[in-house]
Amino acid sequence: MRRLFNLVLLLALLCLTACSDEHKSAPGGVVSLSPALTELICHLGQEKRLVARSTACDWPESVKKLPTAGDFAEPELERILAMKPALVVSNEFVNPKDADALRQAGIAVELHPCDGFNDYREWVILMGKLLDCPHEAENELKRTDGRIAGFEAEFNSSQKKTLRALYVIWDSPLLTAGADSLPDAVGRLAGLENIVKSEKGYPSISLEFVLKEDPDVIVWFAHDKDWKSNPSWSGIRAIREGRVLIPRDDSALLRPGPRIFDGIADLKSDLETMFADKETSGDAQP
Amino acid sequence: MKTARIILIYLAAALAAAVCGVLFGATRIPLSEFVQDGALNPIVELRIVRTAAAAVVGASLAVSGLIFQAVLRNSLAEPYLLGVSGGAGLGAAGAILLGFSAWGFMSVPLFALLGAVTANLLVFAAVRRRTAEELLLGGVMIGTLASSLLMVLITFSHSRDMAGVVWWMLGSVQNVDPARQLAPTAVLLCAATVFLLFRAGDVDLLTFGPEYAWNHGVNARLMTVILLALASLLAAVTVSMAGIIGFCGLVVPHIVRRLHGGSHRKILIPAALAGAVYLMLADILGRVVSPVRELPVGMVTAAVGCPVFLWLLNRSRAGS
Amino acid sequence: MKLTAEQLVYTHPGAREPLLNGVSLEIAPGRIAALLGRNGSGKSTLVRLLSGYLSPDSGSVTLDGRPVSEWSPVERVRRLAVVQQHVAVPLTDYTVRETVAMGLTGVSRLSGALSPEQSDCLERTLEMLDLTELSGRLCGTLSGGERQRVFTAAALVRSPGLLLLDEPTSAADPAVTRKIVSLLRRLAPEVGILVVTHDLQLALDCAGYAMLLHEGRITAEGNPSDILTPETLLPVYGCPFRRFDCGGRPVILPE
Repeated sequence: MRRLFNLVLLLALLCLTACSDEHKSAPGGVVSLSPALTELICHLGQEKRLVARSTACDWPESVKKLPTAGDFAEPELERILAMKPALVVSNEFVNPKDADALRQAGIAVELHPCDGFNDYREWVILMGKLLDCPHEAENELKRTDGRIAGFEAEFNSSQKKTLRALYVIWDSPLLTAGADSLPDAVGRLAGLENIVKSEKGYPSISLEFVLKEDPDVIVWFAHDKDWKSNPSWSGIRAIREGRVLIPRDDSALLRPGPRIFDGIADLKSDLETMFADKETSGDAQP
Repeated sequence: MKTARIILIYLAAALAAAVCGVLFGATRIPLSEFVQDGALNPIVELRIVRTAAAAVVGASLAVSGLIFQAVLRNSLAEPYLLGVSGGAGLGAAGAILLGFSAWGFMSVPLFALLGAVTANLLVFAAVRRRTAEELLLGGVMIGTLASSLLMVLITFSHSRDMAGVVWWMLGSVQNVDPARQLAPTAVLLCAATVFLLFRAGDVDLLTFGPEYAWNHGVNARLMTVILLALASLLAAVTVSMAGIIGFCGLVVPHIVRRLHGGSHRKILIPAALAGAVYLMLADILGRVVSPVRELPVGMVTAAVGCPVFLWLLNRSRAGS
Repeated sequence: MKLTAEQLVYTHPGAREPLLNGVSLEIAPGRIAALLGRNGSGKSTLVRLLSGYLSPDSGSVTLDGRPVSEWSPVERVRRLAVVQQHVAVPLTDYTVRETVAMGLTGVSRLSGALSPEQSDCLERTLEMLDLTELSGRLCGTLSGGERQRVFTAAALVRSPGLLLLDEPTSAADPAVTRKIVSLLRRLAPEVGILVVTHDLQLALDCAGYAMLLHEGRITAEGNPSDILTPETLLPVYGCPFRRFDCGGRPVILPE
C-alpha cells in the first residue's frame, strides 16, 4: 500500500515536472505587451501563438484583430488571468507586483529591457527558446548582424562626413534622445552623430546648448508637433534652413523590432535626398 | 528707510541679476561675439528673452503671493491656491493629450490659461459666502479635483505624452514667446501693479480682517474678490507661460515683508523686484550648474526656497 | 447727522430663531447712548447691522435719511466710525502711527503722503488717546488695552459725526477707563455716540440714555439711573442686583 502510494507520488511529480518542462519549451498562448516584441513574434512566424496584445501593438495589421490585454507594459491582470496564457512578455517597465501576481497564477513572465541592438539580439535568442523556433531565431540573428554590418560598410565606403544631429522627442519643453538611447543607436547606423553625448536616456536640454552645437540636421520624432510656430526655435540654423527630417514611419525607428533596419534604410535615403538637394542648391555644407 | 531708497536698491539688484542672466549661461561667449555680423548673437537673444521671462514671471508671482497672503491673512497662502495650478495643469495636459498641441506652439499655453481661469471662476462661483476662509477652502477643493482629473488623464496617456505633460508642469522659462506671451504678461503685471499701488491702503486695511476694512471705508467683500481674482489671473498667466513654479510666490513676499514692514504701498514694488531677482538667479543657477540638461526652474526655486523659508520660520520663533 | 435703526430683524445663517427681533434705536450728536445686554444677546451683531457690514432680514438702517448700505464706503465712514471689540491680528505688524493713519480717508492713493491738515489731525488724535509716546511702536508689542486705544484713535482720526464703540473698555484698566469716559463726554456735544457694553457701571457713568437688549428686543430704555434697577436687570441677567448711592453717583453691583 505504502509502496503504491510512493509510486503514485513519484508519477505525479514526474508529471508535474514534465508539465512545467512542456510549459517552458512549448507554451500555449502568448500575451505580448510590447509592440516590438509583438512584431518579433510575428516575424519569427509565431503569430498563431499570440492570444492578446497591448493597445500599442499595431503591426503587422493582422494583430489588430487580437484582443488587448493592457496598455504598453501595463497588464490588465484580470483579463490576462481569464485568458490563461502560458507566457507574458514585455519590457522591464511592468510593475513587479503585477508580474508576481501573474507568476503566482502559473503564468511564465519574461520582462527584459529592449533599448538597443544587443537587447534585441537577446530577445531573439530568448524567443527562439520560448516559442520553440530556434531555427527562425538563428536566421533573424544572422539577418540582424548582416544588416548592421551592411550599414557600417556602406558608410565607411561612402567616405561621407558624419552629420551632427539633434533628436527631438518633444518640442516644448525640448526633450531629446541622449547617448545610449535607441534613436542614438539607430542614427549612428544612418550616419548621424548625436550632439547630446554627456546625458543618457531622454533628457530635457537647454536651447542654448543646441544653438552652440549648431546641429546639421534635426530628426523630428515629435510627430504631430509643429516647429514653425515656436519662436524659440527660430534661432537654430537647421530650422531656419529647413533641415528638419520627419521619419517616414517613426514606429519603425523607435521600436526595437524586426522592422528597425528598414526604418534605418529609409532614414538614410531621406537624409541623402535632403543633403543632395542642399548640395546642389548650395546653401548648406554638411 | 525711505521707500524710494529701498526701491532703488532692489532695482539695482534686479539690473545686476539681469546683466548676469545675459552674461552667463550654458556656454561661454566672449563679449566680442555678442554681436555677429551686425546682428545680435542668437544665443544672447535667447538669454535676453529667457532672463526677461524669469523677471516677469518672478515679479508676477511675488506680487500675486503678496496679495494672497494679505487678503487671506495667511502666511502660507500662495498664488496657485484658488484652483490655478490644478486648472492650468489640466488645461495643458488636455491640450497635449487630446492632440490640440498640433495646432501650434500657442495652443498649450492658451489651454493652460483657459483651464486656470475656468478653475478660478469655478471657485468664485461655487463659494456662496466669499469670505477669505471659504474661498481658500473652495480653492483647495477645486484644485484637488482638477489634480485628480489630471492624474486620470495622465494614466490614460502614452508615455511620451506623459513626459511632455510632466515636464510642462515642472516649469521652465526657456520656451517663452516674447511677442505673444512675454509682452502681454508684462503689460498685465504693470497694470496690476499700478492698480494695487492705488489700492494699497485697502490691502493694508484688509489685513485687519474684512469687518475692520469695512469700518474704514473699504467694500471688503468686493475688494477681496477683485484682489484675489487679479492675483489669480497673474498666477494663471505665468503658469500658462512657464508652468508651475513653486516657492517664489510664497517665500519672496515673506522676506520682503519681514525686512520692510507691512505697509503694502511701501513693499509692493520691492516685492515685485525681489521676485524678479529671485527667479532670475534661480534660472542662472540652473543653467550654470547643469549646462546641457535643463533643470526645471521650479525645482531650483523650491530647492533654494525651502531652506530660506525654514530659516525665516525659526528666526521668527526665536524673536517672539 | 443721525443714524436710525427701525425694526431690525436678523437671523444668523443656519440659526432657527432670530437673534434680533425688531430692534429700533437712534443715535444723534449731543447724546451718549449705551446698549446693554448679556453675553451673546446680539450686541455686536447689532453693531455690524448698524455699520452696514451685515444686512438685516427685515427693517432698515438709515444714515442721514439714506439706507446705510447705499452710501459709498468712504462717505459712510467719514460720518460713521465703528470701533470693533475684536480686530484680527494682521500678518505683519504696523506701527501705531501707521495704523492710526490708515483711519484717514482720502489719503493720497499713490504715495500715501498726508496733507498738512491730515498730519495735524493725526497728531491731535494720538495726543487725545495718549498714544504719542507709543506712536513708533509696533502694534504687536502693545497690551490689549493699548491696542484698543489705537483702534479707537483710528476711528476718531477722521472726526466722524457718529461713533459706535463695541466694548471700548473691556481691556482697559480703571485709569484708562476713566480717561475714555471723560473723552467720550468731551466728544458728546458734536458726536453721536453709542457705547455697546456689558459693563453696567460704564453706562451709568457716561451715558445719558440706556437701552437693555434682551431676547432680541429692547426691553427697557431711558435714563440710565431710571432703568438700570435691580427690578429690570433681574430678568435680563438672571441674578439679583443691589444699587448703592455713592455720594450722588449711583453704583450697581450683583449680589
